[in-house]
Amino acid sequence: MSHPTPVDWRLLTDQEVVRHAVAGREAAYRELIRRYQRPVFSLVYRMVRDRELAEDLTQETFVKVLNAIDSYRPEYRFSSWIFKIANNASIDHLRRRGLDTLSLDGSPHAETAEAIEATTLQLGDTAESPLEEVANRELGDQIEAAINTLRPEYRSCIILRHIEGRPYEEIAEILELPLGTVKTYIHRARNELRILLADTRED
Amino acid sequence: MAPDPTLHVSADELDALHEQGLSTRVTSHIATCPPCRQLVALDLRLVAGLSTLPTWDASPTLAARVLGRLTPATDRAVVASMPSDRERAARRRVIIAGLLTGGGVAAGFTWAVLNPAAAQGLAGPAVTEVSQALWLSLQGLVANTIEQPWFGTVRDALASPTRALPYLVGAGVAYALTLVGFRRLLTSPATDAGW
Repeated sequence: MSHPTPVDWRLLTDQEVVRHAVAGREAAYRELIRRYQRPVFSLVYRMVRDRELAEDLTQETFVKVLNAIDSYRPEYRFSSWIFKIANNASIDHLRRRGLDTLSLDGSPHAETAEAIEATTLQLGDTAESPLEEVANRELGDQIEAAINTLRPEYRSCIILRHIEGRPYEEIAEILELPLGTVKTYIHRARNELRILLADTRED
Repeated sequence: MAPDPTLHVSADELDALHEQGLSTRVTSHIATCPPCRQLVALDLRLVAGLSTLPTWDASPTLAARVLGRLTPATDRAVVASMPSDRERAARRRVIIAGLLTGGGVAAGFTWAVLNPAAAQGLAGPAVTEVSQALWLSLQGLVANTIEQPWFGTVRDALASPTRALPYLVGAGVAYALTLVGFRRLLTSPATDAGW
């Protein structure tokens, strides 16, 4: 009986892992999920601001991508493909819900105390001095709240560029927009965020 | 010519400062322009703040839930290559017809070997009649074709290899195009997840 050669998944590129996934290796599926679950979930959660919903949309994204893995075209970045599907799922949801924005105090759709708590933003721990931590958390809270007021297209652009660190070209690929439009959206989004932050600081 | 230090910081310059840092022009301009100084400071603070926002983790059961809902690629390939009920029934019919035909031919051959005189008595008149009928049909077909008004044109066109070549090439191309067309018609559409 022949056993498949052991693979050090961490050394492989996305394209190589995808090739193994197309061949039906479950470990390759696991590796793709391991690589992308955090960025995909972060993107979706920042878009919809509802943890349970973000879990569902993330799950749908992975199921859709992995079930269609043999139709993946290697001339594109795998990350662009998965982010595109995740972003489309989030935008579709926001459109269905009527483009509302959410506050740091939880989703306006939350009807129970548990739902409010579940949809309230919780910032992670950081290894900073207490004073820095308080200042940064305050700024982080303000930025998160300001991002929630942006149009979904601007929100996607600013998250992908400045939080996920994706290059402009890849954002254009993900959002299917011309490069110039992406740059304009990012610039306008930063403009709006600056105004909101300046207002908050003045208050 | 040196860039004008009195111009306010542009959108492109603001974008560029996150990639390449402050340019000489922007540095000298913001030294004398408080609104631009404030703009640059706030933008730098905003982008720094954005890049340090936490990433969020999905629940640890996400992978298991996703994998539980997947159809593995190998299974998909097996399912795709499995014949449908209609294909299975058609194959069964072809096999039965083949067995019946083959069996009939084999039985007839065995009988003819075992009873040569009887076989010759039956086959002789039948073969003669069939040959005559075929020969008459062929003669009729040729006579009919020669009398057609287009026959002269076709005969002239195919009279030499040089004249016939374009027609043969055309026929070849038409044949190839027909094959490609059939192939496209008979290929199942690929599943696509957004590309």
